Parts: sequence; C-alpha cells; structure tokens
Amino acid sequence: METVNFTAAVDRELLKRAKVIAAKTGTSVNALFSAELRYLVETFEAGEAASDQNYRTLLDFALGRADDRTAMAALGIDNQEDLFLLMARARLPMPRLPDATTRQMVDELEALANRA
Amino acid sequence: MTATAPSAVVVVPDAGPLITLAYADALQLLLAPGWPVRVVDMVLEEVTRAATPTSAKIAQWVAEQGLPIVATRTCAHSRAARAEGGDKRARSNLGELAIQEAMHELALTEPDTVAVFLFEDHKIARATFLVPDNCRKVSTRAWLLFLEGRGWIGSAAEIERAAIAAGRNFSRLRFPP
Repeated sequence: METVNFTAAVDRELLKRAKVIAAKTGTSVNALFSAELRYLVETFEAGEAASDQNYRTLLDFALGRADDRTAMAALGIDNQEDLFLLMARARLPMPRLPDATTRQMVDELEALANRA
Repeated sequence: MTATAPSAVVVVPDAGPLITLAYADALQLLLAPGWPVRVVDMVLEEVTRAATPTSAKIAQWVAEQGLPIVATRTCAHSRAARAEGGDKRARSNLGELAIQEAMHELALTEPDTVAVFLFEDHKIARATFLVPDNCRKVSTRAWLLFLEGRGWIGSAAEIERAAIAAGRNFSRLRFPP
C-alpha cells in the first residue's frame, strides 16, 4: 500500500492523549490516525452504497454542520438520548465548543464559587 | 466531595447533561459544589417519558434527592394538549422552551439568585434565546472541568469517557445492528 505524507492541524491536548494511547498500545499516532480515518471513510462509503444517509447526518452533527434538531428530524428520532446513543454507536464525537469558550464558562463557575 | 458555597446560586440541568451524567453513573456530580439543584418539569418529562437506559435512573435520582421541580406553563400546556388528544407528538424542543421560561421566571422573581443552566455543547452553540443577566449557560464539559479544577473529581475526561463507553454498550441494545 502506497502511503503519502500530508500536513494537518490537530488539537494539542488531543494529540498529547493520542501519544499516550500510542505508547500504551505499542503503536504510533500515525497508525492510530490511519485506522480511525479508515473506519470513518469505510463507514461513510458503506452508508452511501446502501443509500443510508444516517452516518452522513451524524457526521454533519459531529462537525457542527447540522444542529441537533436537524439531525434528529433526519434520523427520525425525537429525543436527545437516542441521538447520543447513535453518535456513540457510530463512534463519532459529540460536537464541541471551542476550548476558549469552555474555559470562559469554567472561569464563570470559579467566580461564582469564589464569592463564598 | 460537597463543599460550602453561596446559597444564592442554583443549578438547573437540561436533558443532555442529565443523560450524559446518568450514563457515566455520575449524577451526583451535579451536587458537588453544594449549590441547590432544580429540575424543570418539561425536562424531567423529556428524559423519563419513554423507557430508555437512563430514564428510570434519572427519575429515581431526582426523587431520592428530593430535588424541587420547576413548574412551567410549557409543560402544563403540553400535558393538557396531550390529554385532549390535540398533540400526541413528543416535540423535541419543549424542554428547551420550558428552560427559557424558567430562566425568565427566575430573572423576574429571584433577581438576586444566580442560576447556572447546564447544557450540552451543541445546545449552547445553537441557543439563540436571550439569557437574563442572572443566568449562566454552562456546558457539561465546563462543569466537569470546574469540578476537576477544584479537586472534587480526579478527571473530567474520565467521566466523559465513562459516558461514551456506556453509551456504546447500550446503543447496541437500543439500536440492534
């Protein structure tokens, strides 16, 4: 199998955690990345081949391109728990806010706690 | 794990954080800072109306903790409509409408109370409604990182991982291949 190098940007903390996993499992971040990318590509293609748009919908939701209401309507479900379960089964991450936004919320909680 | 904190702060979780923490078997983390927790009636109805892997656990936990239930017109209207057979659909946005109602009610009736409303990240990203000055929108992840920073839990990521792992297990049962 021919391989090529390419450049990508990744969350620093995520890369740090990936390196820990790679070390623990005696492999490389490169191998982990390739395996996960292969899973994503093959799952997406299998869904398309079967005219099943569910994985695409879930991927759009994971990437923040579709909101929860749009995703739930497309999937024919009516509760948040089923959306969470389908994301877990598809091995896709729930959408995340930028770290800076999360940090700001943590700071707000700290400020409230420090009022005591 | 519980700490002393100002009494004028209350925590109001949306459905998402209740579900995530239930899967992680960590609902008690809502109580960790020592702030009172209230549950909006429509949110509780949303997470308990159908038998799911977490519905009974959440209902039992809310009852055991004796958490106050915030009554909303949204929920009353929804129940009345269903009783009359007018709207049998389980509308997915009613919990959110009820949360908004609870926020505005709190701003009007308890202006000195700060309410921390917990949502999942995607709800915060989407929510476009006006948030009163005494209300804060906080994500489950931010909540867990706050607890981690205070030393009340060992690792926020560990809790998130536990929820995802349980979700993967239960998803096979709820959505068989």
